[in-house]
Amino acid sequence: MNSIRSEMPPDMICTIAFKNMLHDPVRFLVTAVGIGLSLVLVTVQLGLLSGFDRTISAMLDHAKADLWIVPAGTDAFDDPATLVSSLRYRALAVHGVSSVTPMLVGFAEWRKPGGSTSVIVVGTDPKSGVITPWDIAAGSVSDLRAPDAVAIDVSYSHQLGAGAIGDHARIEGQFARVAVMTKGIRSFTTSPYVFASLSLARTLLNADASRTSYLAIALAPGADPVAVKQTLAAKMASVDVLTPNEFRRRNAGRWLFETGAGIALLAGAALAVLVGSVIMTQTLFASVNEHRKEFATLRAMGSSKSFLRAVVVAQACIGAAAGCLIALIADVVVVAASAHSSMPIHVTPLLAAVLLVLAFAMSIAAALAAATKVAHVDPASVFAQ
Amino acid sequence: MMHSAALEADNVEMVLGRGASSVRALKGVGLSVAAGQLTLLIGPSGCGKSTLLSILGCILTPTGGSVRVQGCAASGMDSEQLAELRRRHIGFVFQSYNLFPGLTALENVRTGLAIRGRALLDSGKAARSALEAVGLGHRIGSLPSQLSGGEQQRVAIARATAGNPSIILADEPTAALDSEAGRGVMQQFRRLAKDDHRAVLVVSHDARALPFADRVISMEDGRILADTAAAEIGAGCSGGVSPHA
Repeated sequence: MNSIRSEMPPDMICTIAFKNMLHDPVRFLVTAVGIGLSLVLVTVQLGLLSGFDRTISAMLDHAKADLWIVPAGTDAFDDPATLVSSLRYRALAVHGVSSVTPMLVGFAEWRKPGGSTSVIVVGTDPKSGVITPWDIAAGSVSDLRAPDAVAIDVSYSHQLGAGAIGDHARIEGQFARVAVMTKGIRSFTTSPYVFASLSLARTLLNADASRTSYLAIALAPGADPVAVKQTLAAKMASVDVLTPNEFRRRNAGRWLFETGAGIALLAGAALAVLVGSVIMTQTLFASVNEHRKEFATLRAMGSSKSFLRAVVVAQACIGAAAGCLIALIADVVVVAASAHSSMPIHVTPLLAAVLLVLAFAMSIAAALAAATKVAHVDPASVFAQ
Repeated sequence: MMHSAALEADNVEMVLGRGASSVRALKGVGLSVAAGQLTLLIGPSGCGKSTLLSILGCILTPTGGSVRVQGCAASGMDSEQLAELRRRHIGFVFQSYNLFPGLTALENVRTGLAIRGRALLDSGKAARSALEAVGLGHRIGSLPSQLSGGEQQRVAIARATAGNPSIILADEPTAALDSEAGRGVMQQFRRLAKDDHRAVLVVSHDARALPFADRVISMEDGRILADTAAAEIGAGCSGGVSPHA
């Protein structure tokens, strides 16, 4: 017997799937909205995670260092122990090291009229360019060379009681003047960053010249970072020598996972995926039940099981596509609304791709369960009993 | 005119259920359905008509006996092979039409064509022809809900015949229709048998179907009681209705 291909043309699969879904427009809308909202929830959770990661790592992402020497066990950029400053000269003696820039980071009290707030002072030589304020709204980096000059972000103006160039403040009892304003440099903690020169930072943090928080290493052209790192680590005790990526991972891991913030966000995202999958599964099962007789008819007519499964999977894909469209519109609104908040939702192209894959993965996972059901539809059930 | 057997059943047995609750639904049934004939299978509810139709349509596998479709033995085939046999040779028409409610008449017929492997490009044309053949060329864009019961059944007939299967099996196709619509549907079945030379088997307990039959098979308690040519039944069965009206 010559075989007759029973594969349904894709356009017929899509037509049947689409019309099966649209046959009950209210249910279709509820499904699409349900999937869309679960995707929005996933976007918010993962977007917050991405936003947190970006905020947490902003200093390290903007730093110009090939290697970092940090106090042993340091896992958070904002809250370091201190190093002996003289390590700088031992580092400079290592072959392949071009420059070593000390950096001082620490919490301080910013006094403002009527109260005070905690800030994180970041001090380094502005001429070195290792970490200088970015996204400058007023003033320039060179203004930080003045002995009392600091840079703050406009988003903390209210918290700091200073919102313009020339405003004054007292940090740990020392006089400081706002010389640079940035826009968008946020801190993951509630304490705003305050940029200062290294010497002013020493004063503000009451740290003598023998101590520093970090040493930022710039390598000579052609130097092997791995070899230099190994040499530095071998020559110095009680320090960790880290690549920028290693420091970034430690810092992000500390805030996102040791504090539980990231776990909570990931758990929320997983829950949203679960809810979306349940909604899709429920819809597909209901659709298969509703069209059971038509599916049984197709089977009686000689349709293959794979065709019936294809219709269900196509239905799932249509639901996912509609959900993605709703989520896209909602996400644009949510991301725009959060852009200038203290918790910006950051959607990268990678995250968008992950969400798209996730939407279709959860829909198809739901479809596989329903497809099992449709494949077992009894064609004999179409006959009058 | 010689009528070759398109469908044959030999000593078919069917036991439904297991153990003490099992029921012997068919008891050694043998029959053949010939091309060019409209065969009517009648009998009271529960006599085994639909079970026999399912077996002849290669949907159910009998517990005993054999079935041959266009000379091909269905015994021993798995479910996908039986599906292949159905889509090659058999078109089905059901009591409640079983059309996809969201698809137009044309799309429902195209579904039948697509199952039979008809290429995408000519399926629209073939579906249109099938609908024109049942007098619904003007309703191709209508949804089932926009059609009367008789029209829906004619769409189902167009779907069953699209792709040109040689055997049409119909299960109580007029049960849900008024007399005029039922007559129209039976005329379509007669056309399929006479004009297209297909083997048509209609299960019915609707006496209005009798005038259209070439042959009437009566069943009771899982057995065939009588297998009679329409001519032998006589004009009394027709109730004065001409099958050619």
